[in-house]
Amino acid sequence: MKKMWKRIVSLVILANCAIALLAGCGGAQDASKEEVNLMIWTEYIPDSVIEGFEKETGVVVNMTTYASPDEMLAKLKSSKEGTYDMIICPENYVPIFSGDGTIEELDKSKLSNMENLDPSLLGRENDPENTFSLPYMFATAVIAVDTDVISEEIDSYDKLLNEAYKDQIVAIEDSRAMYAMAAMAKGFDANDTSDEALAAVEDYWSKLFPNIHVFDGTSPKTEMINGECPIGLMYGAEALLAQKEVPSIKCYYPKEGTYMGADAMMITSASGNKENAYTLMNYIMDGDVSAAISAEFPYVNPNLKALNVLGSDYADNILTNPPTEAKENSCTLKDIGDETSKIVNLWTKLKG
Amino acid sequence: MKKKFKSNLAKFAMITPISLWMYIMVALPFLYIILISFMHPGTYGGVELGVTLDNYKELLNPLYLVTFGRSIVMSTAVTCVCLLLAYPFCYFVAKKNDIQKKILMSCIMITFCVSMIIRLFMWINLLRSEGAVNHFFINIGWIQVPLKLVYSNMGAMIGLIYMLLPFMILPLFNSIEKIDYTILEAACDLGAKPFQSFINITIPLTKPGIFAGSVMVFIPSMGLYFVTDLMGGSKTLVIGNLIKNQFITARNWPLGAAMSVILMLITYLLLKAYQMAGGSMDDLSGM
Repeated sequence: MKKMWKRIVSLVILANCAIALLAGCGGAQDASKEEVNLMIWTEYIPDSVIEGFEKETGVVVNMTTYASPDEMLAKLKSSKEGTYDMIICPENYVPIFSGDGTIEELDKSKLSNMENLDPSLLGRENDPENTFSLPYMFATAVIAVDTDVISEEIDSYDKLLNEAYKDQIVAIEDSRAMYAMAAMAKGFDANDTSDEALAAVEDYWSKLFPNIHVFDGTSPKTEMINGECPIGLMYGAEALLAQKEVPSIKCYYPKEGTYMGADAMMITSASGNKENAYTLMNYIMDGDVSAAISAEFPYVNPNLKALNVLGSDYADNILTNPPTEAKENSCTLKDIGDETSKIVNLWTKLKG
Repeated sequence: MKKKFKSNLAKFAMITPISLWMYIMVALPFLYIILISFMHPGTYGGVELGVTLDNYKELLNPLYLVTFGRSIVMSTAVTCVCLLLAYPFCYFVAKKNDIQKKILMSCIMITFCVSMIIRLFMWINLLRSEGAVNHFFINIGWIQVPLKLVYSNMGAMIGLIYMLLPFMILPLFNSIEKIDYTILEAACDLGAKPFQSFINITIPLTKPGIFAGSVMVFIPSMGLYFVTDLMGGSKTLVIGNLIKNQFITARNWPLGAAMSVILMLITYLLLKAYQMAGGSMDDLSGM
């Protein structure tokens, strides 16, 4: 009897293992369920917006998030085609994805809310006709200064090199963005990886890095809020959140050029839920919805209707509504392919 | 015959899951890493088929060698500090009675109940310029300017030492506990000073624990990149950071894979050296 019992137990264990293995391979989907698979930055779309969409359309949103574009690329490359229906990621990936057929030309007839977008922010260098993508939000990088601690107006990259600021700066852990800013500081194009530009950036970084106390890729605002660093080189939205906590923080767009990047919305060619993806994209471009996104994550919103909804607080702050000269003086990151490794090596060399 | 089959079936049921797990989750990825380390990088991540040794040649770039070297120096320092902290602690615990031993060792184990990342953020809060530790020292007048305890090499070291200390304590405690104290008494009776008997008896007897603990601390300390990212403010690089950067930022998977292979080789050589010095693999499993 006891042996019988043992045998049953072992068979059950074996059977369970088999089921667990098979279930992992199958990934069986419930065909009757309408869904859309969205890939997006972390902390970039409020849950309320997703819930609103699900309630309105009955389509379930499966969200995959990433903390860096490189992670996004790695996830996309390592999963089956068509795993993601809609991607929201930095605009410099648009030429890459359109080139290799990952994304498809947008059917604009399904995107009636497109008219809400600011025409001056459409047609950027990476997708001149907006054939493949539409902007979701824009992110700028600013110099944030706690005026209680630092009296100087740090309105240029050059002023960050002041030796008095040793170990005082928190910077973003993003080699590409930091490279773009350093190149602009030295008068080069943000995408220039020629030997001269690399040498100039090396010179700038070797002076800047001693002043950097922390590189923080996830939440550089924290170091400013808790008083660890009085100066920040960070994204506008992060600076804005820091400003809300510490009103003495003032922000500047550096004279030498603004780092400004768009995150673009795209639909994959292999998507099995295209209609739902279009519905979601159109929903996001609705004035009220877009305003709800900005209310929680205050990036630069290209949606003119949303700007009306958001009111003067949003429109009057340079962080959410950059002045025209900052916009005109901004760089557009382009796909530089293999050249990226030159930037990473320089980054490693100066950090190590 | 039938009986044998039954008992074999039971064994099979117990062993199959773990062996499958090891093959699928450990051996296959390991093989995959070795394979792609000989391939060409794709422009946007991934690999292109083909065989090349370029990735290993690329490793000779002084840039990487310097980081490898620094990482090894740092791991050595972390291992030494862990050993110096763990030895007296284990010695102290080993002399307690059974209940006290269990309580004290549980105190070490219980830290594993909280996620590593959360514990690191707690350290950051304690150690930052405006944190409790600096406040305390300023208030009692020992220092005027806050010490840079986080976001520096020092911070990265503190993080690594904290993370890895239990891995030193467990094997070390195991071997210190086994010491036959009558030998020490005998040495004392024969006129050995406490220091002499410590050097000549205690240390040789606890050598397996010292080796095992050192291996368990040294190897992970080269790879725990998130500790140096969080506590070192991303300013200190260990080999783990290099590998992560190659895979994620530089999108050069084969080079990252080649670095991983080298890291695994270092690990293998260390384990081999440990075995040759008389260490037993069983001791590495801790308790």
